[in-house]
Amino acid sequence: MTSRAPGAPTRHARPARGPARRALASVARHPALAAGAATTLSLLLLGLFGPLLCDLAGADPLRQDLYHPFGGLSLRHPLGTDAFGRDILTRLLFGARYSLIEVAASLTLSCGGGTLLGLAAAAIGGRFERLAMWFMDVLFAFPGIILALLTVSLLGPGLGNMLLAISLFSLPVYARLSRNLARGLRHAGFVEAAVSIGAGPARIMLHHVLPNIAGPILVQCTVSAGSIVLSAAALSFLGLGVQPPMPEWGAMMSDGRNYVGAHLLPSLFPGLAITGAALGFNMLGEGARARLGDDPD
Amino acid sequence: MSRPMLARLPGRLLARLLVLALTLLAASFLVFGAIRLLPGDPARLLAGPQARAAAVAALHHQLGLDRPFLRQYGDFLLGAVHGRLGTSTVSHQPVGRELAAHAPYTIALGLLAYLLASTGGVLFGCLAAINQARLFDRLFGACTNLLVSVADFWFGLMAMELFAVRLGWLPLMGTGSPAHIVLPAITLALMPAGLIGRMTRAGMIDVLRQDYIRTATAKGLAPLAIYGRHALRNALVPIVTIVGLNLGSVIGGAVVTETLFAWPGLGALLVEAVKYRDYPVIQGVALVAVTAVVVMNLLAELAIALLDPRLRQA
Repeated sequence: MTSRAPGAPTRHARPARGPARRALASVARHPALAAGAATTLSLLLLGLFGPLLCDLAGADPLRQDLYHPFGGLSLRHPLGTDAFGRDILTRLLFGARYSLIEVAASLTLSCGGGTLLGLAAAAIGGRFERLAMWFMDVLFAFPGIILALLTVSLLGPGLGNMLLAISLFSLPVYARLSRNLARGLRHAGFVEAAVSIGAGPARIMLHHVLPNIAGPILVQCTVSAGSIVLSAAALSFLGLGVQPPMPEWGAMMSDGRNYVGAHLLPSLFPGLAITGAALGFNMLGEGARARLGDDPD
Repeated sequence: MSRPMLARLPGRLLARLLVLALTLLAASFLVFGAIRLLPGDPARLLAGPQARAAAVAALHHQLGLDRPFLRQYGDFLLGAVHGRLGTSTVSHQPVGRELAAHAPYTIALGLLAYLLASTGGVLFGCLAAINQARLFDRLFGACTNLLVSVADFWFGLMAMELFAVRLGWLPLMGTGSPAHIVLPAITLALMPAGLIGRMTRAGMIDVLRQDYIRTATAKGLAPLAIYGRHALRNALVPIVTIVGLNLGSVIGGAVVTETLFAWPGLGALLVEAVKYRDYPVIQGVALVAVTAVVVMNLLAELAIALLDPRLRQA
């Protein structure tokens, strides 16, 4: 554990001459962070623009060609076709959009809700704080996927319910993190100054504390993004999330699974996409955590 | 501080047991209450939209929904303490018997997977810490990133394709011989191996910076004695914590692996139950899963107290 303050110049830092050179130096020092950022950025671009390109090229992720199932790699179908003759590349590109939606929606719910709850607990304190945090401990005692399956069994399968289920199990992480960080700032100068000019607890928490704890919370978001991609794909794979024929990566694999041993491509590529996306988020998160300085290396 | 170390352990243990019981009580309330406090008739929800009114009414009675809520919960708790968890609405078997039939498979799979993950994670994590910032460490970092990111069901599927279908070395799925457990155990071990490896490396790097390691090196101890006796033992505390935490939630991890390999454990049972909306079974598996997490946490804490005398007083 180094005691270097976040953002303080490191021993190795030399005055860099231009922004390009500075960026290169930064990439060399944090290769995982750079690789993670590049992967995440590509996922973002592919999810945003890939489907548009497909539309322009006239490719449809749902169009079947039952005379040509399980096509191999070809110019017409660069990643082959699945059991219904649908183009796998087109489906992967539309699937990237599903992943982005899953990550964005789950993070908004779990990080937003959890952080608000944690800040409220820190601001109100007393019995409310103890009770809220204990309830979070109880939620945390459920293995994530069990809580998700429980939720889905009550609400039924589907994209929305699956997202709710995934958000529920990461809620405690954000509530604990934000509450602990906010408590750590209770006696900071700027908080006491705000108290002394008569700012209310909500104003102090949202205007003064939240901006100062946003860094670690954002890092946690990046780390959880990887597990959101994996959990959502797993639930869809089990048939409890996004349902076939929609081109979600996990749902594509639950289709392709039936043909393992005979036809590999329909399950090979969606799995690679899931793993790649999760790897990108994880490397970005771990790299960012190391840069923030709360990591042993 | 003046009291002997071990004398304080029982009091602390008692307090932990009380918190454990309260957590379990709250979790059981959550699992039991969720379906009954949601709007609508749970029996209608479980029977599905096409069910006839008579079937719904029968289910209503079978689940005990025609009695007051707190009465139902009280009966449920009393039954649960005696191992009676209701009757499956699909197989019409007692839930307790279903759980007992599936649990050994999950326990065997989980123990083997965690044995693999801990051995590999601790061994390679130590080697990475000793070779910090060298090529081996870089490769190790890339491998652990990959291990915690790989979609386990995809890995399992690809392993089936390669080792069962193409090479024919191992059985595809199901049970029947010791070889059947190999692929599911490796699949289940991936994520914990990555986590344990990372934790071991970080802990060892912290410990290797300490003065007592320099002393041990200076007095000429063999590397194995330094790393094994002095360093690893001190780095073990966070490792035991993470193994305990993760081993407790093994039912969660096993859900996907067991379903994929048709391994008849609790995870596969849960997925089937969710598909058929067999709420008594869902309830039972969820309770077993929470109990496993809470008990494993407690065991990990006890193990740490045995490993680290300083913590016995905390």
